Amino acid sequence: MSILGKYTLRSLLKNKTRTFATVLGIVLSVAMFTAVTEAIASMRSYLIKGIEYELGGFHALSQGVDVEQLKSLEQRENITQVETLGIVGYADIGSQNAYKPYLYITSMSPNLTSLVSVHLSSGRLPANSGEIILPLHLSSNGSVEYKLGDSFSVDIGRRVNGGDVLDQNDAYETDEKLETEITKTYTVVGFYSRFDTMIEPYSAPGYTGITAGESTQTYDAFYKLKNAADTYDFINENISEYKNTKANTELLMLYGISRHATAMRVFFGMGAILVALIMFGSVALIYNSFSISVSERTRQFGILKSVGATGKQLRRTVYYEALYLCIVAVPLGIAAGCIGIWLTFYFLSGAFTSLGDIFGVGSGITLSLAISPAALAIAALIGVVTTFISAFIPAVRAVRVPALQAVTRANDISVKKVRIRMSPVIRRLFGFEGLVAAKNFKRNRRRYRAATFSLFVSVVLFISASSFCKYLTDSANTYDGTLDYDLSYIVYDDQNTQNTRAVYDALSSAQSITDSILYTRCNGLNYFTEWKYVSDRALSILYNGNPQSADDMGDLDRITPAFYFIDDDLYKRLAEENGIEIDINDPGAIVYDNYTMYQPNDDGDLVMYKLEYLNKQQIMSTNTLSVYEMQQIDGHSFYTVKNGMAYYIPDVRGNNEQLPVTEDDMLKIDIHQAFEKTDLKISGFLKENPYYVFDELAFIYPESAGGELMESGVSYMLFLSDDHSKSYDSMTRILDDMNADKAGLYDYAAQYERDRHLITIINVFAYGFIILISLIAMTNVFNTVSMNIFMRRRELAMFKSVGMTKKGFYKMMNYECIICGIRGLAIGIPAAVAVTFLIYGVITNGYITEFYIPWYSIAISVFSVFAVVFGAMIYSMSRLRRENTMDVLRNENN
Amino acid sequence: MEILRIENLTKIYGSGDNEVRALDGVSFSVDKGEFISIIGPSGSGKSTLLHMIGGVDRPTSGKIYMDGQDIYAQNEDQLAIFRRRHVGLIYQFYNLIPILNVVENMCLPVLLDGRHVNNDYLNDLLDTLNLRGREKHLPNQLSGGQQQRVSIGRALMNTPAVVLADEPTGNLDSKNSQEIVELLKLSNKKYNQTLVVITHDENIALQADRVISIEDGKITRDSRIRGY
Ligand SMILES: Nc1ncnc2c1ncn2[C@@H]1O[C@H](COP(=O)(O)OP(=O)(O)OP(=O)(O)O)[C@@H](O)[C@H]1O
Ligand SMILES: [Mg+2]
Repeated sequence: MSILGKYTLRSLLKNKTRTFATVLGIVLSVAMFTAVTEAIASMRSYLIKGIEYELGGFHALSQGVDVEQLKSLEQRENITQVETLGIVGYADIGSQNAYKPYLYITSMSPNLTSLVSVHLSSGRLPANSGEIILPLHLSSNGSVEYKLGDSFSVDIGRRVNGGDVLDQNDAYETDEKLETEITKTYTVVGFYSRFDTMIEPYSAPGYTGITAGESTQTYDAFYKLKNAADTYDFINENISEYKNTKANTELLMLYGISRHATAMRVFFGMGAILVALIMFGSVALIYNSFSISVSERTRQFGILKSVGATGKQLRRTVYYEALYLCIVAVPLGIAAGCIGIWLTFYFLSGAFTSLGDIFGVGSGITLSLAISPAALAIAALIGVVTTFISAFIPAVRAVRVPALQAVTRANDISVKKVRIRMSPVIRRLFGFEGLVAAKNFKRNRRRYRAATFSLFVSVVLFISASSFCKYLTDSANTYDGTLDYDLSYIVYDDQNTQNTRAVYDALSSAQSITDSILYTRCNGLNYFTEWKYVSDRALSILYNGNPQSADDMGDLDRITPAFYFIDDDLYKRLAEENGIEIDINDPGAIVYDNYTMYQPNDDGDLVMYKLEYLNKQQIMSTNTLSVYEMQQIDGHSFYTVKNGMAYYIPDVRGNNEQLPVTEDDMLKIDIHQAFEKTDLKISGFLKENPYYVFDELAFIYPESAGGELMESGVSYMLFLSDDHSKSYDSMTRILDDMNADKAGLYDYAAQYERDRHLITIINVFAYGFIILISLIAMTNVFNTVSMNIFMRRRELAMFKSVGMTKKGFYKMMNYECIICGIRGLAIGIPAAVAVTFLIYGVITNGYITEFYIPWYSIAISVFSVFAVVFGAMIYSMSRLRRENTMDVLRNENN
Repeated sequence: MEILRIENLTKIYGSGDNEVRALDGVSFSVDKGEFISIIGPSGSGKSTLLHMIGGVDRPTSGKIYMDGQDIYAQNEDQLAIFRRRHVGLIYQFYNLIPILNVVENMCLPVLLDGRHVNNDYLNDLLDTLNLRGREKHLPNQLSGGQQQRVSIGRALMNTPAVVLADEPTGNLDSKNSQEIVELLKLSNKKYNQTLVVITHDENIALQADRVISIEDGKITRDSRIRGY
């Protein structure tokens, strides 16, 4: 080992505290890098496994190849494996689906399932040409029922139309013919889940049945290339020979092979942002360590220089240092990162499993740590790069140390004269020692700059990381934690109230349902109302506190309530629970008032307000709300109200080019003639909305009071269940039986569970991130503060030798710590708030939520800044006290 | 034979009111093998002159030639290499690297130059410097005199043409001082090295071949004591 290598190693070993802190810093950073790259790698391998499970691991599929072509495929050098579905032919099997009348019989090659997934739901794979497995949708979609062990005979042939032979990619044509050639008998040995649409397109006219051991003339060939990246090139080069070739795009996308911008890129992009954030924190930390290490050895660098070390040699000592630290820290960091991610996945495995269908990955596949050499190498590389970036500036500084400074101790002599102003209170508190500290602070600004800087970085990192996570979880957190119902069924197209009832009754009796309600909601109607019925707050937002300024509508304003019609008993109960008196013969509306209003602000941006729109006192004094409804005028649509006149646009049917219509073409009517006044009876107001009422301005009526209006509404059914998935299955069956639309059925509980799991996952990652970033920040501050003190051991020893007491030292140090902490916070907090604001802008883009100052994180950071600063100070002072005063003074003479 | 020529050397520290003329038009020349002592009151510019000759600081104006080469025509790295090959500097404060042991400190210039240590010469030096048995000791395990001897060893290790010593005995008692001077003289004779010593000690000054007095940055006297 060269003398400088030896020198570096020894100085690392000598300064164990600093070396430990630096190693810890690198370990933390590398662990975080590893966590990011490994999380991405594991996610990728999870998705790959998912696709291999759903579809298969083949790279490309060529359909309709003949025997010659198949041979040529098998002989190609860059193709490693070919499996086939030999095409036996089509058979009419009496399917009820007019567009899918056939069984499409294929014969699998023995190892097909190693490239293409066939999910048997029962039975086994076919072993010979007398056995067949059938897809499940043959029964569910085609209503052809076979059981395991059944045998059937079919006539098999080709589909032809005109002179053309048709295949699975040609949808059923009404004038096509099936030319049968042979008759075969099959025994059903299994059922499997329908193939992916890549293999059997939606429009394919035949259900794919799979037999084995049949020799055929044409094949669907599935194959794997030696190098997956060549797939698209291969397809393009051979397009003339293999016309019907498709790539397994989803799989290849995950291998990073794609001709399009992909989701994976977004994934990597997010990883890159995280890595950049971590790198920023790490560079700040590791840079500080090196910077300290260099300034601590300023004199030594000077001596080395004066005995003839060149700039290159001095730089190299710093890089040696980086190298040694990396050799120790990078493997540790990688191990720590892997363990961390493994633990995270382990504890979150439940949550991830339920998220399977979000990622399109079937159950049975779990997200687990996939050790990817590439991911580890990238993490290690980023770690090493981070370390060397951090070492770069200190290395340059080391070279700039003038030789003379070291040999003459010039910096001991050249102390500037400073004037210190201290308030009497502080002077009393900190005494002479405080004065010394204050002088020190003024004189050695540079020395404190590192500490202040690291405090600044830490505060900014901590606060902005927590805000980042807060906004992230906020935006994911769409539910407020409670779930009022488990399943819902919405009847969008409600022509037949009778039928709705029947569906409701049937669904209510589904498995595990414990409670249910049925109600109808009509969307906001376009009413107007008098100002006296509108709350002051709403008016002041609408008219900037000055309603007189707008006279277009007279004293009328728009009001758009939603109408709810609920079961009469439920209505009575609701009134009772809220102390509202009702007369069931003239029930009136029970109102829930939480109106959402969008109003442009001064910059013209829409701002969302949630408020009570109605003037409760006014309305409840007479139990009446007068609303005005625009008259319908034949051949015209209401447009707007201006200067007391209602404007109607003439309907222009079928010719949009005539729009926009000028004001002259519009029909103008005095508003008092245009409006029709109705007095609505209002029975009372609710403080909280029942779970079946949305957060809006809602007028709730009993069903018996619903007339014409109710018929235009949408019916909602809400269900409570003991076991939502059981209920869901049972309800699907019921709807099937009733021939009702299944699109309106929604399993909220499942959604809720998924959301909760998603939030758990985001939270775990967010808090993990915050904790690690805080650790980095804390290490950084601890490191700088303690090193700052160690570097002054000579000065402190001198004070000690002239009789400064322990108490005096602490007074001096306390003063310095407080000043340092205050400085760091004073610049860190505003910067952090600014960064938070930026993050708010990026993350909540589009949402209208309010920006808030992260007081909570600020409080934590203020507390921890002082805790860490004082902790570091006390630690290093106690270390110093153990050293012999004279030793210190003498050593520094070397 | 001339080895060193100093021409009109001026060094000004600071500027304006704070301006200090540490050296003011100093010129002289030194022959190979000469032993010169420099004396003068505190603050007269002795150390400044020595640092200029040793190539650790740059003059404001004027030139220094060693073996006919203008040393300040070189860049920083060339100057560093020049130092480790041709100059041995000894400071009043020993300026050893605290984490390197005696042998390592001594061999530093040779090792930095990427050369192999001549073990015979090293042993020879250790004997002469009376540092036997101390090879593996760190500087803070040594006395002041021992540390100074290590720094002399370091200066002599690469057998430089010129040895420059700035009050090498400033911190030592007279017995130790004399030992150190004997050492330097020995090396001066043995290797025909040029030796420049700054000292306040008249005894030491008078042992030189030539004494140069400096006052206020100017040479006030340059007297040859012995024929040469
Ligand atoms: N880095 C510096 N900045 C400013 N002035 C300096 C610097 N180094 C030396 N001086 C000034 O230059 C003058 C000469 O200093 P120098 O160190 O050469 O004196 P010296 O003769 O070695 O004194 P001593 O015998 O006390 O060591 C002094 O006045 C000193 O104050
Ligand atoms: Mg001096």
